[in-house]
Amino acid sequence: MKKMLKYQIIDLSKSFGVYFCVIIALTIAGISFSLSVTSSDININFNGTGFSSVILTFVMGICMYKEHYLMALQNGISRKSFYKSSLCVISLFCLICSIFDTLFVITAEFFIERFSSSFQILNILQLIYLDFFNGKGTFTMLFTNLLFTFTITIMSAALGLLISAVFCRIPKKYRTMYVIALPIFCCSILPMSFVWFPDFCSRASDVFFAILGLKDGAINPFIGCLSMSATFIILSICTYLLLRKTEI
Amino acid sequence: MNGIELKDISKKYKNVQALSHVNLCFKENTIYGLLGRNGAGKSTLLNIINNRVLADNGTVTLNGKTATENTEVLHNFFLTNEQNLYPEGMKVKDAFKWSSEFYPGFDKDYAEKLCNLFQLSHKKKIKRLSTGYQTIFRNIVALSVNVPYVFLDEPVLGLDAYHRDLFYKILIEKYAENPFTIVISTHLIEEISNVIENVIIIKNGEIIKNDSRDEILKAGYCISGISSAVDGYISGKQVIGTEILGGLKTAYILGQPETNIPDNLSISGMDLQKFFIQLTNS
Repeated sequence: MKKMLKYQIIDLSKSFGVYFCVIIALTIAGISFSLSVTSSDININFNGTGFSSVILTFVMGICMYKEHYLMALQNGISRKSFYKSSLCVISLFCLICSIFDTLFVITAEFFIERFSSSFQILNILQLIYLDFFNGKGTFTMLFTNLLFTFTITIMSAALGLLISAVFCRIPKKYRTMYVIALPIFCCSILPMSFVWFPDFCSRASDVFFAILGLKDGAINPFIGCLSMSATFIILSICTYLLLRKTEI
Repeated sequence: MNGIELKDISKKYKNVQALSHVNLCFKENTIYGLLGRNGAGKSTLLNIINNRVLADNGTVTLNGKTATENTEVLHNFFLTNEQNLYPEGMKVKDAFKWSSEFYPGFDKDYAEKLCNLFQLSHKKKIKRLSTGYQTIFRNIVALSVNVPYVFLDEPVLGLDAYHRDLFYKILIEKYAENPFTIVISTHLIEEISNVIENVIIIKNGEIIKNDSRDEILKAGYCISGISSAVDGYISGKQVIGTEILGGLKTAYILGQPETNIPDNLSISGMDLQKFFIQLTNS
């Protein structure tokens, strides 16, 4: 498993390195621009870098299954070892993403406070659970941000892994249909269902908000972290059940 | 027993029985030829041994240890086939680097030497290589990993005559210097007949012959001549096949030839390819 772990970490570190560089460069560009303009009418918001981490880890989950799984089989690594290695890699990179996101917010806010009043950064947590942090200290906010970003990115990576695992298990003739139908379902049918079945979707969204800890009067990101951790475990189990019988 | 042992391996794809109760042994330091017609189950067999495909039932063991889903055992095997399982963006030199990580016995210098012999640029991406050079790349990795069991599924696919000849020479040289078990699955029987020691013939998912090449060739003979004379000679003998060309007939017979062969008939030794054709055609 160590060899596979080494391979996966080195392979993915390049992509993550590029991603972090891009985010830093964009932020520097934003701050520089806000410093260069003198007009007080201009405000620059840089919101939810954590969401880009969520997308990145989702893509990582998809790519990992396709490329790393085949590489594992070519080099005599069992499915179980590959799975264990993948979980370790996912956890590691999600932790790095959450640390990066937290450090990024701290560093950016430090510079903004001193040099630019027209530039604002909101992290993923502040965007969703803004009310929770009223009156809470910086440490609580940073710790919660770290935990929340970690759980949401790890869940996203597990979802990517599962989508890819399903793709590899379904018969070849249905694969094209699957890759077309899945985004259509997520981007069109699912949102449209709020129009077609408003009562049902309203109740479903109430449940969804409740498990995310976003119920009115009881906003709590830790409930969201718990729900996402549970979802990660369920998705990971499903992925393993599919993976252990996957053939080339 | 030492070696790979397959017990009661079966595999079914929907309505096709790819392998049916296969029992087989691969001994150490032997070159095997795995022969069979298209769809006979050769690749499925190799994929099952190498944990790429899972058998419906049966076991694969190496020196008594289960190979399926066992990384420790699987590191004694290396399979190359027409599928490229390396990441598409990977360069040849990176594939060598990672092969040496996964297989500590991988000889990088030897791989570089083979690259020079085959004129394969190790700076190129694997996906950019032509079909022939992709085969060469996979063969180079297989010859450099230095594991006890190497499985080559169609190792000369897309190779020109020069490269095929060079590959067989290198394979024999490598085997002579440092013996290991090689299982070659190919349709080019004539080319490998002088390379292999043991022959395994598979037909419709069943092993129909598993013997040393010399024993197989000694087990039969060919008799040729005018049809009527051949027909007269073969009556009562175990004929595995006949060929008719014009008025001439050739019969492939199992057993030892008689000492007094009629003058109008000529006798010759059994040819592995012809033996294979007759055996799998019957």
